[in-house]
Amino acid sequence: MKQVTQSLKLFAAEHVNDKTMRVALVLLTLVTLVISAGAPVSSGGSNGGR
Amino acid sequence: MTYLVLASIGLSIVIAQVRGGKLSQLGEIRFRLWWVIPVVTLVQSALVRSPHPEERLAWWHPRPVIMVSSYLVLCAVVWLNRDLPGMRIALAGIALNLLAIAANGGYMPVSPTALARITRDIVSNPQIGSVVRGSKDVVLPSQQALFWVLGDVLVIPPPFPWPTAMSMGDVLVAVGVFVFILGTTRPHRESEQDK
Repeated sequence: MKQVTQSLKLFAAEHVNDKTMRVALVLLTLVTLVISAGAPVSSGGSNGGR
Repeated sequence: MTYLVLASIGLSIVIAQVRGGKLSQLGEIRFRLWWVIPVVTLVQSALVRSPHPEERLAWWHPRPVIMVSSYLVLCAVVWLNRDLPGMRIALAGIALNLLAIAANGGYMPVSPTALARITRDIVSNPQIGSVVRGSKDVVLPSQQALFWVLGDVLVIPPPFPWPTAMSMGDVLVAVGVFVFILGTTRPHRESEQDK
């Protein structure tokens, strides 16, 4: 988990000035926010934690 | 769920564009501790995919404890960003889901009836107290679930391509993100005319 966090921070530090990358990061944040905050259940059992 | 997430965010982007908004303005947003959210998603994903008993675990086991903690972390991060458009609505949704999950031992309750309406391949009734595989949910009738009204009670049945049962919290989170995208991509011209 530390490695994942470290990689995310490093990636952001390297590309944070690139505006397209910043837009992509905000969209990534929104998508993961809906996935992690939601708890729906779909046909076949797939859900927000996936 | 992945399709629904992509569809809802995609729809917000399309509406923002139609209204003359600029997606590039999302890049000007400073979302504090943004990286915590993908990490929480990874942790939850590992939890729901990890092998576990068919029946729900007692609340002191790592799975329910980590699930509830992950929601607390999400609440804290979204609270830090509460001044951004739509984030207070999303925070309310996360808090409602947290309440339902914490009250039911670390699992989101879904009634057997709701589950049967969305699951085409189930022949017999789902077992009460069983965990819905690959999900955060536990099958509980409304009489046995605490705050059942906050559980996955809103059903989108077939012929919808991805039949889903969702909670009021889920809807609020989606609305919050929708408002966020529309609010942050709004053309500057509009706000200048307001002054």
